[in-house]
Amino acid sequence: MAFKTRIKVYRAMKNLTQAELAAMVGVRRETLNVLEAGKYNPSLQLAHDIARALDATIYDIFIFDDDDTVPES
Amino acid sequence: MNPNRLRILIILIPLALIILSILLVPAGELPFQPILVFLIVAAAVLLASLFSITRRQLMKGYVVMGIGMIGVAILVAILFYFQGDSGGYAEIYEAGVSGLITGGIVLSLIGGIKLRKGPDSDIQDERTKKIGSWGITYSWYITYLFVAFALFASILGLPVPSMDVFLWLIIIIMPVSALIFQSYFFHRGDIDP
Repeated sequence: MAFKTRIKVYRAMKNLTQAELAAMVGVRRETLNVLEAGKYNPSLQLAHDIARALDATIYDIFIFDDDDTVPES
Repeated sequence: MNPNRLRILIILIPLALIILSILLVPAGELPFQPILVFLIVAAAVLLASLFSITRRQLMKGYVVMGIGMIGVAILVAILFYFQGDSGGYAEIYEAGVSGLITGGIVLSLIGGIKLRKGPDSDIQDERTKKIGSWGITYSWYITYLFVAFALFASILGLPVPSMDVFLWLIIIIMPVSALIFQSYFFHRGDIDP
């Protein structure tokens, strides 16, 4: 399933670097990089951790192409 | 096994090997001294590698790579200029020196790879675990196909390599194909398209 992420936007809003956010959620910077590029499908746990670290919901961060049921946040 | 126990065991085995070798080699009591010397060196390299792998700071990569390169340079010089001067211990000497050179090269490579990958390259996250295990899975398939193909070739009377060559090929194919698949998946980002 194709999806886009808004990690970069939220990360910029929180003034966090990739390395800082990666350390916060316990992954490599490289993993966060491919996640931001939409090349990696994360586990629900990682998606939750990232959303939590960015003070957002999973729906705010991950946008699925074929999903028209995303609730308003 | 508890990871901490495993780590202690991994460190204790080469340490015990080094101590045992140091105690026994000068006494000249063991029949396969060249092998023993090589084991000392291999154990020392293993210890150094473990030290390198378990530390996360970038500087460790420079230090390990530097030690490795200096080791290779000095020992290559020793091998060329002083070969034959070691009397009855020539074989031990050669095995030790060649082992140290190999160790130096390995340390240089480990240090270089660590530097290239960056300070967080030791972190195992869900993506690295997933890619690591899938790389090994594909490697297993490739090896299975290779063995099956060789068996059918043998049954059909086609030319097949000898047992020694065949085993060497398997030893090479398994890790190399795993590394190739893992590198490919790391480059692509995920195992799924």
